[in-house]
Amino acid sequence: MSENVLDVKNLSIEIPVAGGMLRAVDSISLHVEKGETLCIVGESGCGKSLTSLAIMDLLPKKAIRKVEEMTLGEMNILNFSEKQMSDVRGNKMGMIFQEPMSSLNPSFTVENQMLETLSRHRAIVGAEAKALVIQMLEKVGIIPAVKRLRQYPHQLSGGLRQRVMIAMTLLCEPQLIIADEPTTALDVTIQAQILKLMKNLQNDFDVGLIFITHDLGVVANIADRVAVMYAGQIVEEGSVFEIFDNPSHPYTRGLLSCIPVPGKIKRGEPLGSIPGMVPSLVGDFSGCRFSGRWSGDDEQKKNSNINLVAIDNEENAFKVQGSESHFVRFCCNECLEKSYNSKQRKAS
Amino acid sequence: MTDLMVEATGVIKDYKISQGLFRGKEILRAVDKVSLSVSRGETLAIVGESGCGKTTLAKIMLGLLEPDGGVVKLCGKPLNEISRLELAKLVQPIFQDPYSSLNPRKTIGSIITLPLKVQGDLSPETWKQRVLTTMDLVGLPSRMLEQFPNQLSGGQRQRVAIARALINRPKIVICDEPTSALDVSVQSQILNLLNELRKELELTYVLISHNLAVVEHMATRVAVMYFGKKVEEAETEQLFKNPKHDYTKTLLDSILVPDPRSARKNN
Ligand SMILES: Nc1ncnc2c1ncn2[C@@H]1O[C@H](COP(=O)(O)OP(=O)(O)O)[C@@H](O)[C@H]1O
Ligand SMILES: Nc1ncnc2c1ncn2[C@@H]1O[C@H](COP(=O)(O)OP(=O)(O)O)[C@@H](O)[C@H]1O
Ligand code: SF4
Ligand SMILES: [Mg+2]
Ligand SMILES: [Mg+2]
Repeated sequence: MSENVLDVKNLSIEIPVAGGMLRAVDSISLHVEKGETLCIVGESGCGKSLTSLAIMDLLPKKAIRKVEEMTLGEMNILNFSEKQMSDVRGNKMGMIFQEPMSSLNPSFTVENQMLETLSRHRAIVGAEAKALVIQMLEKVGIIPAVKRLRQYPHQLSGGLRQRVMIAMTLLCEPQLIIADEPTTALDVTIQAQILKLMKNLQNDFDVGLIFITHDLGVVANIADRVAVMYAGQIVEEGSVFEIFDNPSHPYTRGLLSCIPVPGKIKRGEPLGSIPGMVPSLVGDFSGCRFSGRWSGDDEQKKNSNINLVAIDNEENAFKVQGSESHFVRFCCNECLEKSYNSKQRKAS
Repeated sequence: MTDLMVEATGVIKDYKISQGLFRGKEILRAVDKVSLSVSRGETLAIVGESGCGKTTLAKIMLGLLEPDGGVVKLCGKPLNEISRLELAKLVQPIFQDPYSSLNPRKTIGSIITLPLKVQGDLSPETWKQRVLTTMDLVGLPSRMLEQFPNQLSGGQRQRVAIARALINRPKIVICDEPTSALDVSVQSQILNLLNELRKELELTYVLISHNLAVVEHMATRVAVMYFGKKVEEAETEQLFKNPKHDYTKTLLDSILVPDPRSARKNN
């Protein structure tokens, strides 16, 4: 039986902005199992970072978070105080951001920051702590570690800094790590190394990982499960194979058609596209989120190999027939009718 | 008339880096004896890790930076014999960041018109029409003429940068990471546009990108730079099939194929 390290039900985030209320995240639910990597993928501005900040209770002050249920392991963290959450963040929940400098203290050496983390969160000090620090640095591929102990973050390359950040996170033995675009700022060769490292460590430590990225290449490499976010909603979710083999929402299909894949599309031939842009979600938005974004191709083609089964009590949400883990959600009937004929849709 | 649009021979660029108060300056060789040539209609990609000298080389080819050694010829003529105005009609840049490369206080119309003014173009009565034609060419609606950059999306701003680069009908366009700051959906629109424009206007491209899938899709030839040096150059297919230099191999191994099965096979 798999255990969930994180369960979030019906999370919404609103932010007052000029012109009204921005409904940045609209009633999303997600879970992460022990030892599993959930990738949240989508274009910029669709709410990925806010979602992760909401889980860590680090949203900007003016943001309004509504959520029905939020559990971390056995703990219901929904109504935790600021103090409690700050303990949780250091201990049970680790965070890795795109720019590790934002989480590392520029005036402490690598050794000092890591010792401080150990003493604060695990009350380990002295020789034992130092040995642990060295051991962890070597685990993340900083070998020999001794050479780096006395260095300051700015003396390290971007890739090394991200390794130090990962080592710091793992020192606390978290149940869940949330990584927001951790490799986006790195060179491709370093990105490949860091992804491999994270995958291996995650297996070793059996920790749940939420990995946020806009890069479907990264998703294919690291995800076990994928949630596709579009305009504040999760429009599709499934195993990494389900998402890439049978993309079921027009947005997922569009995203996949946009990326050049070596050897797949002849040079100079047009790539697929998603025309237009993400609608503004300010104010009383009730229109079509995907309006004007259909590509000519997609409008012609129905998803003929996929049948959908309606989900009880959830309007316009479906399970892909033959799978227990592959879901697709629409906000009205129209997209659905464009992509699927009536024979493909079944009642539950 | 030659078909060699760009010809760089032994280009060198040194930066002097201050080492602190009493230590004097150290020389950093950012571009180290690089030779390249690009023929009419080709797309030459330059790839390599950040800091290997790609942007420096691009700026030299654009005449924005003076090299410390070597020669760059555009259409057969040495750069230092080409006047500023002539140069602007030969070669134009498109940079990565459509946010910082457009003046926020100018309207889209005046941003795209500026190169015509700079050229002292003799028929101002045609300017507006030419701006509108170019906007149409790059897929910008004419109602954006009076808008400001901050009212546009990232993709639209990059289209403005492309329109500005093309208004004087240059022969060569040097694109430095033109889609790196954009979402994939917008990237595909811009790449499709660049390809259409290349055919329609018979452009020659130099494309700098760290995204090897983009390079494979766009380039006819690829030059690989490593620590300031060109370490390999080959036809695109050849390079992807049969990389020679160790760094090229590492680079190709780090492509993240958007296919979970092949991704897992490689690990
Ligand atoms: N502090 C903030 N104030 C106002 N709007 C914000 C703030 N943070 C994020 N947003 C808006 O919320 C939406 C979602 O942002 P974000 O979660 O950062 O997207 P992503 O990480 O998917 O790129 C965007 O439209 C963004 O502009
Ligand atoms: N104006 C400058 N002064 C000093 N060093 C510079 C300057 N511009 C670039 N460099 C250095 O030159 C090298 C090459 O930089 P650049 O051409 O920007 O590389 P790339 O575009 O491949 O990332 C880098 O080490 C960079 O730090
Ligand atoms: S389901 Fe309806 S409202 Fe939602 S994106 Fe599709 S057409 Fe628009
Ligand atoms: Mg983000
Ligand atoms: Mg550069």
